[in-house]
Amino acid sequence: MAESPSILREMADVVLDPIYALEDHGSPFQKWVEEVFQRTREHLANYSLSLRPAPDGSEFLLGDCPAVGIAPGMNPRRRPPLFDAKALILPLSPGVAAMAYPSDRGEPEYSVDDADDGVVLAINHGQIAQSHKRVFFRPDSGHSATVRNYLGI
Amino acid sequence: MSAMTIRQHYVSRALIARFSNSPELKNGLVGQFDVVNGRCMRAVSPRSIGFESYFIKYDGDRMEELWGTVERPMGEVFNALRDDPSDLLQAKQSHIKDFMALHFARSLEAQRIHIETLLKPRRELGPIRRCRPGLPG
Repeated sequence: MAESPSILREMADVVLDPIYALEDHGSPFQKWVEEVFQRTREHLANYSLSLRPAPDGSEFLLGDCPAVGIAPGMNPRRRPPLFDAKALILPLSPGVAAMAYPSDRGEPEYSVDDADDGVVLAINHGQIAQSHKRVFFRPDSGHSATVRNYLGI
Repeated sequence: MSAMTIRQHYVSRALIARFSNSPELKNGLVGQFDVVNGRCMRAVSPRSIGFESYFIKYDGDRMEELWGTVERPMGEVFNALRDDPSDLLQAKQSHIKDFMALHFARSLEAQRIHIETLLKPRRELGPIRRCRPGLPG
């Protein structure tokens, strides 16, 4: 029994090495991304869409992982799975963010719903939290301070 | 893979360009903050950020073509956002949702999940025997 871990490791080598070889080739990631895209696209086709214009004097920034999902009790730094998400949010410009959400009444709805300063700040914090490397913003927006404040630096 | 698709954006260049100081012109600059090192970086062209070389290295040309079918219609959406014709945007909502799906799938988070999933068996069974390119050891 003491040898079990090493036997398992040998088995893992036999099983996993071909998978890692494929990974070097890049095909598993490509297939997975394409599948996630097609499934997400089909899923969102039945979602309602709300465009959220920012008020004057307030604007959105853009994280490098900008399609941010939100779910109750989520870890703010980790995007929840699509099926758990209550909404998916993507800023389309400094002035407007798009929010897709499950339709309650069957047919997807379309609306334009003004975002107040609090909503803009919450969306911006979500963008920063789920960024992996960089956050982008209009140079004169003052959003360097927004990022610093959120990160506590 | 063609030279064109070596640099593959995980955030659409056209989207990043909306956050430049001159969205209608090609010479606009975008502010950026490095959240890993906690520092503000100099503003740069949208084409020089939001990409990785060989982000999707297998079948990259076809994938770029696929992304193009989603990104190209967004030009009209971005113009409509600027001019605010709500009716046009309503007609284009499927393009917006497809654009959201694209950024959900072609993302650094998807890359992180994929790598984590791939490495999980190794972590549970013992040290990685050798480090492979592209995978954190």
